[in-house]
Amino acid sequence: MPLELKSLSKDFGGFRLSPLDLKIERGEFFCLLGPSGCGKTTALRLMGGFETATSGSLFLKGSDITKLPPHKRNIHTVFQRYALFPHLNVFENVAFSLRLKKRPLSEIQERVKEALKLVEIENLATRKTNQISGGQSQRVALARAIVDRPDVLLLDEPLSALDPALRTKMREELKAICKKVQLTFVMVTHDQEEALQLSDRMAVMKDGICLQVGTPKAIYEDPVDSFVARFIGPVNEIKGEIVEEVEGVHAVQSLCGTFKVKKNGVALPKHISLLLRPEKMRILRTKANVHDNLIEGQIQELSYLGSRTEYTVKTKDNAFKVFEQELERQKKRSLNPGDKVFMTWRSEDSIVLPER
Amino acid sequence: MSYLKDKSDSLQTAAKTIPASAWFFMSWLVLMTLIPFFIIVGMSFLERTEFGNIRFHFNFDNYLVTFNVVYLKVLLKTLWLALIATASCLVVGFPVAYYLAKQAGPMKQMGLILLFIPFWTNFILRIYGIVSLLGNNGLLNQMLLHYQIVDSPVRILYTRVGVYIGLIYNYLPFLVVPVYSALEKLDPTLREASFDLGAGRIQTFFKVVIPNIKEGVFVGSLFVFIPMLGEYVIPDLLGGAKEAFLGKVMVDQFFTMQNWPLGSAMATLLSVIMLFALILQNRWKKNSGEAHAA
Amino acid sequence: MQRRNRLVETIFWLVIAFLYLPLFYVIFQAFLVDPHNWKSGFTMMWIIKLFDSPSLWLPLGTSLEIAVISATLSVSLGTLGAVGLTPIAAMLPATFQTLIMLPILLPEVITGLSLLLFFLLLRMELGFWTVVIAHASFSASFVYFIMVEQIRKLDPQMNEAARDLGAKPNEVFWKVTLPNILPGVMGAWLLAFTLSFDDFLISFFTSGAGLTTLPLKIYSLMRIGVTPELNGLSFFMILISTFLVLILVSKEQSRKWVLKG
Repeated sequence: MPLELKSLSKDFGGFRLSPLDLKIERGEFFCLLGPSGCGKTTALRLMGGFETATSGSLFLKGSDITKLPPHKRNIHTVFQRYALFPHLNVFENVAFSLRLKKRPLSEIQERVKEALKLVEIENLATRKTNQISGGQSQRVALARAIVDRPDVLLLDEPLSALDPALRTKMREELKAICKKVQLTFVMVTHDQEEALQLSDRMAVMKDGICLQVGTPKAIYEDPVDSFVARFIGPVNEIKGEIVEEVEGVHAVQSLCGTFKVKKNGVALPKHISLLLRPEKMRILRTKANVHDNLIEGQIQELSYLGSRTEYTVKTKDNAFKVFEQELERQKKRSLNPGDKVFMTWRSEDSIVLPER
Repeated sequence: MSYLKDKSDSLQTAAKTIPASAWFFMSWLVLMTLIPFFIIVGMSFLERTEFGNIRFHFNFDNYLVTFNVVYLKVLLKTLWLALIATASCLVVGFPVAYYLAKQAGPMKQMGLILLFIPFWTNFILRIYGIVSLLGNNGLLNQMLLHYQIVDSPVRILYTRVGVYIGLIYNYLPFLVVPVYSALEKLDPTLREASFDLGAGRIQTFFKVVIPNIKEGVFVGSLFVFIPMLGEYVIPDLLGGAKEAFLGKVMVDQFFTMQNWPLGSAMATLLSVIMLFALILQNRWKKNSGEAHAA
Repeated sequence: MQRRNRLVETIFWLVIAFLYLPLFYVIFQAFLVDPHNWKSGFTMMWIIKLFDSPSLWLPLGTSLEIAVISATLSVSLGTLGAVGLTPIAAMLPATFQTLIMLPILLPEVITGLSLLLFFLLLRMELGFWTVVIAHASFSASFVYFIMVEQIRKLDPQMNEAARDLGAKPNEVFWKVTLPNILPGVMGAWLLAFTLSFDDFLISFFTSGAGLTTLPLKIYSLMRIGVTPELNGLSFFMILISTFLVLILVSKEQSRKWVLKG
């Protein structure tokens, strides 16, 4: 196991990162996800050695590195604003760590070339750092950090300094590069889409506390907390109480009706929040092809987004977001604000959490 | 007491966080600036024996002597001279600063550079230049004699006028800069607002411009005035032998009179006034900073 | 309105003339056959004579040696100080800031006298080295402030990046910080060199009897009176000083300090 955090904590006086336990597997892409001020960057800086832990310990390949300074850890970082050395050209930036280790020149040349090729900027080797674009700087920073194959590579919001169009493109390339180099990655981000797309597992953090660790699918579909559920994607909420249970199917009574929820082998509290992802609900023009649950409403607003259409549907005492895939919409009558519609979902497609 | 304790605590934590590299610099400062300065301060409380030696006997006599009639006269005269010289610098320097503040773009910087280049030639040379121009054999007297305007050389140097000219020449730019930056900071819309409200040019100048720059100008003047009090070379080379100037009297205590404790007391007084001006300047900066923030 | 501005402009140029005239006349004087007579005609004789006499080369050599050594010393001290203190500048109590400012703020006479007493009490022999130390003691603070400004411009993450890639603290300094502040270091060195080369008062107090720098030589000749030798030396001194200040002004890092005097 390359990296293990055992009750690692940091107290800044004003801000506190609560004891954090994480095991990051070899070859894994791990994300720390959360809003700004959640402690994700502090956790990353503790791993890099830029902050000293208040308590707890940190193990790299089984040995305790809690007190080691950054230069003695075989962990490298890709910084948010890249922090390229302005006095060195692209080649020398990438060669920096190898030169410090006094590697033979032929080896340096070979490995730098290899790293530059990996990030597809071999042609920029002799450029100065102020003569390359943001996206290219990003690649240099990445090449510089992977050239001597660290045990763990830390990425501090690596895409946030790029403009949105480039960010999406770089996200895909980053994924491809990570696949190729087969290192262990820990990335910090506040962008849930980025975390979902890139990570094998992720930790969702808030106010210095790690709320949940799991695969993107687990976090998205089985959040343990309403903050996690909302942070990872849009969600509709119905508050209610469980009135009946028959073989894992619970009946939930709420102000907008009674709904069925299928949860096997889980004990549920009486008062719950029912969370529904907009894409797991279907919008119906007529009362046909109904799933387990049905609710009636009126279209308040709609946005056509090409691949899908987003509706806001008003019910008696609530408003729901529902997404309809284009393929499905095409087959049907177009809807307009004010139209009467029905929404339906399957009993196993809802998230149940204790009421806040 | 608790304030002192806090202060020493913060000094201790600061001392702990200073990296090794900075210790060279900090120790150098302590060794080469602070300790010599404290030697002067300490010396001022000691006593001189009849043979010019120093006796370790703590007393305030040197300060009392500084304020006795002989030195008090020197002090008052020096204060007066420095005051007149500072006022003259201000009168000459204000239009210069005003002109520079009104310039746009590169001319502003060029003007300042032009003003300062002479001050980066050696100090002695500047004095020598004045001697060459205004001395008994200087250019001015040569010309006056040549065109028979006068019969014998006009004595300008080695008089009080010589000291004034030397002081103004050497301190002028240091007064132009604070006045200039005070004028620069002055919001131009203030003047426009004043015109808008019906004030004339002269009224605007006295009621809007002056009140807004007076603190900056005052502190700037202090920083010219105080070093003038300690001036040694200018009165020595351009003033007459009779002119007893504080800085000259002070240096003479060290060299000719061999009375280090008395000289040190004068030096300490001068430094204390200087530090006082510094505090004043900081306060003014803070005030104007807050005014800007608000 | 026009007239008032014209008046201010006239005063400005008159003041500039007042500041430059003495220096120009010193240059002019060096070429006069009879220094006491402005119509005596021009000659290169005095200058040529000076080239053969030790009274130029000896003090000039001393001045240059002192300037080079004290500039190097103060740049090393000031740069190290700035590298160490800039990251923690916000945490430093005002006492520290005042201590660093002290050599710049104290009137020169007092700096000179206090160093003189200090050297005498330590029973150091006044001469070359006491002047070097005295010069470095005031220019180190100038260097410090120039370098702090340079270091502030650097990306603080760059330091972390270097450590992250395996650089030890001293390697961070030599391989990353120093190369990036090198232009500033050079500017600061030049400023310290100029301060030392032009200094009179502090050298006067700390040099003792044996040592003669160029300004000290000019001073001692001046007490005798106007001589061709004095005029020649002054001419050279103005040339060198002007050359130095023009370089300083042309460099971004030091220009600000030239204008503070």
